[in-house]
Amino acid sequence: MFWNLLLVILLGVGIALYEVPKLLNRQMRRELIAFSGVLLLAVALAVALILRLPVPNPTRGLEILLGPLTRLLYPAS
Amino acid sequence: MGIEQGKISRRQAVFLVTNTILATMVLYVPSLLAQETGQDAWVTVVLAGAGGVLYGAIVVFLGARYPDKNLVEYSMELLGPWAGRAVGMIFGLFFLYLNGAVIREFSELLVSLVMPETPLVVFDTLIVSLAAYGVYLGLEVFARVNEILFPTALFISMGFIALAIPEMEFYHFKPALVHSLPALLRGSALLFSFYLEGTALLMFYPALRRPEEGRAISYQVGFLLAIALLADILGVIALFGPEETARLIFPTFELAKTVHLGGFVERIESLIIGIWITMGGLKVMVFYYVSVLAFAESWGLRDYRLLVLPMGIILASLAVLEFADTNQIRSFFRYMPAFTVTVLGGITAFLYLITLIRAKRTGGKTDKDDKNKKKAS
Repeated sequence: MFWNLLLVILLGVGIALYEVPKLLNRQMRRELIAFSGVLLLAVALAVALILRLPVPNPTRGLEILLGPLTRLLYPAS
Repeated sequence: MGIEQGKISRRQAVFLVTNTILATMVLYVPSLLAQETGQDAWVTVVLAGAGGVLYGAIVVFLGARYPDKNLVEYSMELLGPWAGRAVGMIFGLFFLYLNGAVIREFSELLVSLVMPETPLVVFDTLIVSLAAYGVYLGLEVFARVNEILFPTALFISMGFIALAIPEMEFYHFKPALVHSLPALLRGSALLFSFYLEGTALLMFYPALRRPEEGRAISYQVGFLLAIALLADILGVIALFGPEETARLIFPTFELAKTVHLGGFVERIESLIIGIWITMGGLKVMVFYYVSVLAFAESWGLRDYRLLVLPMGIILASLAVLEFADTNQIRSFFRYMPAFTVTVLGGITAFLYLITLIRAKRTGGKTDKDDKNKKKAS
């Protein structure tokens, strides 16, 4: 678990080191904000999965949302 | 104008869309269709194909109407910046989610058929890194790769089915058309939900070299898909019979296993896994590209490449997170029709209606006419 965690964080830092200088050179502030937001979200999601935190399963939510429509299509089940 | 600078030809677009739709369709669908409609599965292919071509006509109408804008750009123009951005975000999130499901399906396939001891995450990460590389290089690159690989893959798959013909028994189709219309429609709804994935075309339609010739894309894609699917489903059912097909998880793979040629061509089913991974990788690239581009456009960024690598981590995590086990993947296909029809069909139909209403108000003029008039005056 420790190594997985280290790997994900190193990957996140590596991606930041690869992209951020290019963005700073071209003076793209808006892009920098979007990039950092998405990267933070991504690393947080991966870390949460590695630590087995209770992340909600999106498919479960979709199944609840789409349940009524789907039961219209498959009345038997 | 748009973020994408690359240009693709019409044939490349047709192959990209066909590959996108076909790649996951041939994995699970034959068995699910056989469960629903037995030996009459070929009827659902015809029904869903007709529906798919009609839907494709709406898609290419929208594309040809705004030849230099992609879906997010003209929804921002039609609905105003904020509603347009919301549509773009929904579009991006939808493809992000679906891409996670596709990656999971392909990793699951590799785990269950080839390397049962390897953890799922390994394949997951490998597919995502491959796709991230392709998307980083740009649309033109993977469109060209697809132009070479997709026909090859299609040709080899057809060869497999042709080689299995000696083992087939065509009496399996015998009580023809015995299933009720609702059952047939349910089967077609499942197939049709895959056709809807072709909406991805609207994100790279403006990259076409001659957008005005794009209308043919809808029926060319429909034709290719109908041929490939009919051959696959007819072959599988003639070989195993409807009940056995419904029990198998990957019937097309089992079909490849039965191919023996003259005692020396044996065990060539690994080739079909290679083909599936090729097609799957390209499908993942298209979805990846579409979702990243949709996000970049709706956040008003000047480039989409900076989002590719962070999104890759999200994709790899999503693929693990989305399904608890293989059973949930199979049961997810029940929710597929409702899901794609409400999101993709909803967005396309909504934009189509608004375009029609606006055309009526301005007396059938298009933006192009306005521009030409401005130039003339």
